[in-house]
Amino acid sequence: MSEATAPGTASDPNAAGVVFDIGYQRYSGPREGRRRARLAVYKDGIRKALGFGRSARTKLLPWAFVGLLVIIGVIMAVMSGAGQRTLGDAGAELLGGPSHRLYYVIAITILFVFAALVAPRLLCPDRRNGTLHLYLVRPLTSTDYVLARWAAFLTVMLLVAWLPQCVLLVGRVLGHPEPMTYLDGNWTDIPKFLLSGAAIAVVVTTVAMFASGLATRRGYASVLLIALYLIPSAVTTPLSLIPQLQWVSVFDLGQVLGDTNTLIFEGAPQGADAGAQPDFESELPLEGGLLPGRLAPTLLLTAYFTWLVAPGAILWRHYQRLTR
Amino acid sequence: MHEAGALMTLSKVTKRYATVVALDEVDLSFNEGITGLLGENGAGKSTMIKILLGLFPPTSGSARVLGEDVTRNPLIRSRLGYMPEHDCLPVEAPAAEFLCHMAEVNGLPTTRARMRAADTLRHVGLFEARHRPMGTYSTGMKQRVKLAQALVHDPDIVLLDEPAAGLDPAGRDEMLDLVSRTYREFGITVVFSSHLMSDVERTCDRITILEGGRVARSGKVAEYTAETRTFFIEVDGNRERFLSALKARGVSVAVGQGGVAVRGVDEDLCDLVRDALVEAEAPLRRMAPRRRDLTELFTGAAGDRADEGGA
Repeated sequence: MSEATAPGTASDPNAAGVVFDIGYQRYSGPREGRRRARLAVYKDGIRKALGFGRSARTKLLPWAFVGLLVIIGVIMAVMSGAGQRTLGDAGAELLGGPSHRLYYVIAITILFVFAALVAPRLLCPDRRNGTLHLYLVRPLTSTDYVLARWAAFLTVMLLVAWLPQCVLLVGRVLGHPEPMTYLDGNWTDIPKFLLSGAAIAVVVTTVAMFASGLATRRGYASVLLIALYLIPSAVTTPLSLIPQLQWVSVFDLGQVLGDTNTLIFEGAPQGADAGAQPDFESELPLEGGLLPGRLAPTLLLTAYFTWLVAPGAILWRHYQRLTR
Repeated sequence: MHEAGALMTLSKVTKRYATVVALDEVDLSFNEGITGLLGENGAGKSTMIKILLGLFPPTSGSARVLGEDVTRNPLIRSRLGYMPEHDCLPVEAPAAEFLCHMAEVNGLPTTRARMRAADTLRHVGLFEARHRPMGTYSTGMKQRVKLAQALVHDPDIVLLDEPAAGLDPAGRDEMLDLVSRTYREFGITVVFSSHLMSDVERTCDRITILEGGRVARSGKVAEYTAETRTFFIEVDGNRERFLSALKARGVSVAVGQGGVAVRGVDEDLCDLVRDALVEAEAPLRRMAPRRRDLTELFTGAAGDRADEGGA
């Protein structure tokens, strides 16, 4: 009887399938520098956001939101298809049924809640556990770290924003009696929903990462984000009913994002920004009737970029100071 | 006082935080080998390590690592490893995944990073537990993962901040053994800070003592622990008679630590000790030249500074 050979020993070097324990060795392979470092932090950010490689409990929250948004897309697609088949294009349009624009009007709040619950996973634990120091002593600057995390969450937000829109598009196309005719007449919806989704995702990502960067506990960051969304809205909505104070809606993130969505889908309202136009078109009824009015394009774009740049700059500065 | 071939140098480095001076015009160099950084809390050990890592720039002076200014060239950090004193591990992640990620952040391609993570975890004795979330690890296991993440990318230099903190005696022995092997077997230069002289004495080739942000002493451990001109003698009984016999022969005697210390190392003294032992009928257990330990060196450094302050 032959003597047993322990795996990892060199007694039987010809044995197939034996794993040799050569232990810790010096490394002489490639080192890909900051590019690889940024990519690693980006990939890790996506894993953390969507719970890949983690327990089912960790996956539940993000995927429940993805499921909810897709279900909304499916319901809207079914309603849209049914309307087009029973009432025809003109009838469905007259009733103002489900559309790509309306989907975002409904989804903005859900997207924001999703961001409030998931974005803190990307920044808070690294600071709370002290892991941030391990990143910053590697060939990575604080700017690299923040940008990679931001890009990771933006990718997730784009997925969450665009996926239901794609479902809705497929539903609308297949629900139409003549799918190719529908596509031919409505193809501009595709770049519009992509652009609008990106516009919403960029700001929501930036604001969510800003709040997450200020807190070390995920719960605090979530509460801060929800407060940032709800409190200005609760204050500015009644004030904006007064014509002279309608500009205060620039502090309402939901209003700014909703109006940006409308601007992308429907363009600027007639006469907007011409001469001494008011900042607000209070009398313009909107499809879905969810918003009392629209900010004028110039003010809207100023507010949009302020919501984008200010939190982003504070976040960047904050991480710069962590290494001083 | 920079030496030729230094891997890391600090030139007149000062670091101020508001009203506190953490490092005060420090001139120091670190050579190949294991260097112990000793000092009390607030002496500036962690600040020095963080400056060497480029985590923040000095207020004045310059720090160079492997010939580069680490604050201006972050890529040099891929050749450094750092084990912090504080907790730094994500509790939900398994060690294998975390180490693979850290290797990637150091620029290693994914496949290589995965292999290095497995090899490094085997090296620190955590291969079997590598797929468990790190939140379930004991303090000793966490310390080993912290060391592993500092080594996973194969650095040229590792900076370890209190690597044996919080460990039981067995865990401390294992950790110090790993630290020692890191240089002796793989040639990775180690700088490690500690409060404990015994750890430094046992592991390090060189020692630097920091006091209030200044370098109090720096040199080779062997020089500081060299044999003194004192014999230490232990006897099994009749100790008082032995002491009297020594004094009767005019030998200068100090009593302490369960034995007798006599000054001088010449042959005449040995003869006198032999005669005293015979006269007192005291069985000899041990007789050896006494070595200085680092505790004396540290208290000596503190004493020197107190003298300077008082002068």
